[in-house]
Amino acid sequence: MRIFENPILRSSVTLAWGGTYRVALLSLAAVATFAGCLYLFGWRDVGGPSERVWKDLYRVVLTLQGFAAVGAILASARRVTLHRKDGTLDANRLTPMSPQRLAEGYWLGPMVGPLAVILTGTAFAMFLVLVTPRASVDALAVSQAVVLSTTLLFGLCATWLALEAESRHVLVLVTLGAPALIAGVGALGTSFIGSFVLGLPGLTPLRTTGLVEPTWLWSTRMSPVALTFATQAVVGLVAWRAVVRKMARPEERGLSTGMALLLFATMSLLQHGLIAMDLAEPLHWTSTVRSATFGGLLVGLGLALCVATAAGLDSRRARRLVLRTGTTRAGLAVRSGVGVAAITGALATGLFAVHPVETGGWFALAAVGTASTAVAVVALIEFASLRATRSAALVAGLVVLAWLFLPLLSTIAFDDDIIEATLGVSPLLALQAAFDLPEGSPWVIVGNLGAAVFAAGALVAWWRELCAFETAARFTAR
Amino acid sequence: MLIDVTDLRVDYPGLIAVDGISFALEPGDGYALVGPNGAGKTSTFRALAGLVEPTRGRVRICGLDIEREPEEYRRRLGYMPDDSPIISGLTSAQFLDHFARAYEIAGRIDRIDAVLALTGLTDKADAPCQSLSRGMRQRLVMAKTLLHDPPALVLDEPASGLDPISRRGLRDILNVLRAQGKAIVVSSHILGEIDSFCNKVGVLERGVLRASGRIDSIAAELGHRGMRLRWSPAGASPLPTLEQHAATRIKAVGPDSVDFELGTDDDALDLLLAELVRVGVRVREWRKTASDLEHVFLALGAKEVR
Repeated sequence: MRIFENPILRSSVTLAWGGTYRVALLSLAAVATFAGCLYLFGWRDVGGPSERVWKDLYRVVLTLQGFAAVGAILASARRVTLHRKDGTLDANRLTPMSPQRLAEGYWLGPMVGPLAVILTGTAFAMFLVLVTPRASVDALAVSQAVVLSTTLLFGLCATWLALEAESRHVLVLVTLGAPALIAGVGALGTSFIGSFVLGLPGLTPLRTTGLVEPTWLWSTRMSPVALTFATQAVVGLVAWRAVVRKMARPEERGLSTGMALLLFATMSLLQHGLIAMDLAEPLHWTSTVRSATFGGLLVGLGLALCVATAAGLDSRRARRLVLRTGTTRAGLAVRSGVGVAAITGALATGLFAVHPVETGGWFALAAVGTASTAVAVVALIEFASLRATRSAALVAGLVVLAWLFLPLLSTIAFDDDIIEATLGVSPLLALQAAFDLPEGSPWVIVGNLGAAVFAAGALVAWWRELCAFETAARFTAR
Repeated sequence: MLIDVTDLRVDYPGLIAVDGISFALEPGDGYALVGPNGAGKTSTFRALAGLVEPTRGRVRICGLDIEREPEEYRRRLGYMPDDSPIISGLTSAQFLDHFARAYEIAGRIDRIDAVLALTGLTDKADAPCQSLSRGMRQRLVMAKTLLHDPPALVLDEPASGLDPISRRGLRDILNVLRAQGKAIVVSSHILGEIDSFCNKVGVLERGVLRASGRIDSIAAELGHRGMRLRWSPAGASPLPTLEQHAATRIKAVGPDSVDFELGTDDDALDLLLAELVRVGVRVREWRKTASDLEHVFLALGAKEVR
């Protein structure tokens, strides 16, 4: 197996445990110790293995594996950050190892320890199933497969983020904050694609030993486990391409425009599919479904912002394009994140705006206003990126996102009445107003007008900066 | 050409680090890139190593372009960065084995032993990398750089942190490598030592090459160089000869010594010495007060070099 010849992976094994054999021996010893303790202190008291004991113990195993998965995030992010800082990553990049081989090593290398813990848990869980009469082998297999795939995905995404991040503080915030935020939003409604990315539906054996119920995806019933693997495969593929791209050319953004659009289109479509059945039946239009719809739209817009920013243009790349390939200002505009944001924003809102919801045309108007806000936000971030540094652009982006989303989250978390009070603050609230206010409410108009003014201002500022940047780059080249 | 740099430009946000520099090295050439802090040396080296994408221009190693043939390009290049990266937790031998596998070196154990011996680290093969002194780390990274026997070497401050004996060892290694036909680009703040293993120089200031070419040619073009002569009172005084010599300018006179400037090349220097001996001067000391490289550097008005 060529993967085991990867020098980075081999060095990681040496560093983590002092050798592959020691890992295997430690894992076996841990399983034997678990089993012995279980027999001595557990089953003897309850009269032998039972379904209750199996479920309780398996819950403990899954919790430990959850900690190991978080450990995988931290280990991957830490390794890449350290190696970027001390020059070891560059030293590895100087060798003839291909970007794929580098990505493989930096993805799997730091996960040797966490994976050993997870596989030890798997071995212990298998032992439990074998000795417990009514334990579900299927549930165990599914949940363990999901644990493994989620951990591998976490490690890959953390590697990508660590390659992108300019600041360690931002890295910690994103690597730990993003899964927590996705899990938190997922808890608000069951029809949330982020839950599948995190593998949460695959872990229902925590509640039952049986397999989970199928879920609606448009008009078909689909296994949540299959959907979990499908979403993780898409995110994993995009993250893998991004890591390989960063290994090959660290100055480039991880996401190419094509991969950014693929990620966005897939996730947005799947999100739409999850709530399409509810949207098709206005009679079933309950507050829960409404939240899910609104949440779905926010997911779409949030993703649009993320992918557009991640695939965007910064001053170094723009200068190289101008000086090496003679790209014009129009060409720069096409390659920028603003173009990606326009496509993804239109897709995100279009998918939802076509449905005949209670507020009809007002909903569509609010959705379009929100999409134009997404474009404006990316234009603002790119403006900052061209004028200053990528870090400044990131800070600008975070401030704008906070401005857009915090009032909204506060209304969800605390009191709906705050909506009207904060309406003028965030254009996104116009969308919420379309749900909760009577048709033709001035608040919807005010919100959308605000969004339009904001978008126009941001786009003008961005275009002027792009023109000035192109002229300056050509001038200094003489 | 083993190393060919043409119109290289490197930009960072708000800064042109390297602006249109060009130089070319044949087998056996040693090229010293000197300049004050922030002149663009490390950016040039990183662009040569393919770690920074040039905004404009072209870099070729053995005729290869990193964009088109990255793996072959890297096999032919040895790059030693300024801040020696080591992998804490691995021993010196394991560290080298890591890179030997990465370069897919056949007979890597023998090769590791060879580079450890060359850099004088054989007895540190099993020592953890983090336990090595700064100078030893430099030598370990040098060993890593030489592991795949590259024909082109780019060394950023290789003498940094080395004691005088190790520096002499480094100089010997570099001269051996040059004799083997390798081309070496090197930067260092210790100008006096660089011209003992380099035959060419580039003076970089604010990203621009102010001079580039053979050290002796540039020194001669730039004019005077500082010399010191000490003589025995038992012999004749050299002062009349020096005063009559058109190309010399006396700077300071002591009881048995004189500092003077000479504005010509090495041949003129030899002829002057021969003349002094002929008139009966018993020479005790005859040396440059500054190396040719320092002379070039100072003559160009570059600053902040140590």
